[in-house]
Amino acid sequence: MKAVALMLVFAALATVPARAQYGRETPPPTSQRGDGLDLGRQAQTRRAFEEINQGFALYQRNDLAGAEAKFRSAVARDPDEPQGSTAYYDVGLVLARTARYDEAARAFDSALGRDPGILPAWLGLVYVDLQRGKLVEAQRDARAMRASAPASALARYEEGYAALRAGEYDLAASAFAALLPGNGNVASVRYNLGLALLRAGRLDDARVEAQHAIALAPSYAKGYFLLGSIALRAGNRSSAAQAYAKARTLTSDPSMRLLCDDVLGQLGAR
Amino acid sequence: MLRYLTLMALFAALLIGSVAVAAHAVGAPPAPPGWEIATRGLAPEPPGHVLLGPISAAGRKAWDCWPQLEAESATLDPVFQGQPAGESPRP
Repeated sequence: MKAVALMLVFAALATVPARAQYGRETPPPTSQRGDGLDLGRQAQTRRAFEEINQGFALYQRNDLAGAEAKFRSAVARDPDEPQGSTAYYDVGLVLARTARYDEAARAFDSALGRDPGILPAWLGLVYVDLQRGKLVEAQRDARAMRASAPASALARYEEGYAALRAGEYDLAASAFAALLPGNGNVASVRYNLGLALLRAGRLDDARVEAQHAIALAPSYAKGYFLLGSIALRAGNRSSAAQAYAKARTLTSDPSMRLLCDDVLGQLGAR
Repeated sequence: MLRYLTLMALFAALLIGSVAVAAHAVGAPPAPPGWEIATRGLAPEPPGHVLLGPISAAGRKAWDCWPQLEAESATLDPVFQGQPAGESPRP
């Protein structure tokens, strides 16, 4: 009786599918027995598999035109998952990198329609939304990305960044504040949080975050510019002039140097 | 009677609106000199990776999974230290 129970346990364990593991290459799909239609489909998926990998290699060599041709050919074969969503994502990536944003958005949408768990496609979609000035859509897609991956720091950052770009300062502040545990040592997180707080009128909290950003990255010109702007908004002209002067010294960006000069001129410090 | 009530409602709405506008004008301090120029320099910082790299046909299940892992990471540091953006890790 005990032996029978043991055999049943072994049989149950043997039927549990092995979890896909990172670190082991997935072989291309192989032919299996089936009817003629299935065999044709398998052949198309196998061919798409090869083309995606050829496109991948071309992309790595910075041959974007060659990569696009291979990825498009793979898409045209309408392969099974996960190759279908992968091919659409790769096409979208090339289109986004070559500034064809509307087409890129359609490709990323198609990838996500096949597999909503392909997170890099969400990221690409938010990027092209922002590039096209579609700020509401960018916020919506960033929220969807975070819903797909609640632990993803990049998704949370995108949500805050899209909100900041759209003028939703309280939402942006919440998103960046949520990143602090585990990411409090990232100067850009502190900077964006400080900026959102400044825009929301919370000057004391904004100042703390700007000071954190500068402590983390002492040559961060934008951090000093933010600190100067917080002081300016608070009516502290001498502190503002000091911070803008520091930003001017540190920046290598000519347009920021001009802005610093203009603000310092308004403050009577030049 | 109905006309009187409508007039009263309109008057009340007007009064509430005026008070709200006045309170806003008093509560918001005027922008200091230089503020308009400063706002042009207050640009948000985009994430380190606005786009990730391509995914190979074996991606998301094998070693060409860098973009997916990067997107899933709970920190903004690279998943594979020293890995350039857009390149897949090699075992």
